[in-house]
Amino acid sequence: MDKGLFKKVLDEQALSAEEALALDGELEGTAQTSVGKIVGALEDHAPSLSWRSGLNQRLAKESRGRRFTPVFRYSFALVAVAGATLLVATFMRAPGATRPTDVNSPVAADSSKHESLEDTLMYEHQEEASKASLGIYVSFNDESRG
Amino acid sequence: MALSGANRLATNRKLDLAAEQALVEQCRRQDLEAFSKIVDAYQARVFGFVRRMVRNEEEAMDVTQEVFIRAFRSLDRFDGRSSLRTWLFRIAHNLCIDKSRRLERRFIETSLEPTMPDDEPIEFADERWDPEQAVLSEEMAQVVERAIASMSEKLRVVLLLHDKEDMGYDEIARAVDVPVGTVKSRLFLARAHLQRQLSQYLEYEVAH
Repeated sequence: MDKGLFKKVLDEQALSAEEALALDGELEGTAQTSVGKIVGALEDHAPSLSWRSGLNQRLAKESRGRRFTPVFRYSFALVAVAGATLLVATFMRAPGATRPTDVNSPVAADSSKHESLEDTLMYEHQEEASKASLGIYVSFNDESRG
Repeated sequence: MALSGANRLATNRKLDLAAEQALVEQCRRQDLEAFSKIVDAYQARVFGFVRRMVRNEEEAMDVTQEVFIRAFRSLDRFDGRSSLRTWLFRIAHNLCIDKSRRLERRFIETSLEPTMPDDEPIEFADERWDPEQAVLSEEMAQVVERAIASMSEKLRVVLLLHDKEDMGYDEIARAVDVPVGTVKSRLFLARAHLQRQLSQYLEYEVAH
């Protein structure tokens, strides 16, 4: 082999097309291929059975872990979605909707029907009277005075 | 005792491409039995490669197990652009490099003096080496193993993948992540190093 080429090969420098061809020729030469054959003839031995048994155990564990991971992931997602929905529902409820209503009261049965001003005033009056009869205002006023 | 190819057939079972792809698909569905077939086909070769890349057999067993565990974990990411073999050896190579770095191992590197290699082929005019039968005597195999172990890691990996695993230059370039030209340069230097070591051994044997 040319000394210049050998230096380039040693330094792992880029080779010209001609030099690359020369290197290919060297690699295909008898001196190099005979060494290659020796390496190819080296024997490989399979690892022991206990090694394989250990590997199988690790693989089984890995497989179980991977199989359960999506279940945990989906469970977590479901809980998260349910929690978020509950939170949103709590905050989105209108203040009027939280007001306790007496379902037995005739006025509370369907307030949406009172569309005229008279009806609304009548509805408000009946509602206040109903609350007063339950003692809500009394206790409120007592607290205010106190 | 001559190292005949007694279990060579069993350990070097190769999978054809179609069978390999089918197995990979099954493995992606967590089919352990399918993955076992891949392990059967490659365990001896991967172990042989790793054994020659790390310090001892115990370390080699640990690393080889890790190769298959990582392969099983990341089969989803195996895109099939390279062969399964190239992919496995790439994992094995990376793990060997990691291992040597973690242990801050200094590979015993025999410096390659800028001396020209012999153009003459080595004469193996004795029964320890029969190129026709591709069988090495145990003694000769040990000499070769020692010579390989004394190489730098970067030369060793290319020599093993090309001459031991029959990988092409492109395949090695992908596995080791270097240009094809560099693969050829390293293979040339690795063989030259081995040739020199073997010549010295044979000369010594003849003289004594």
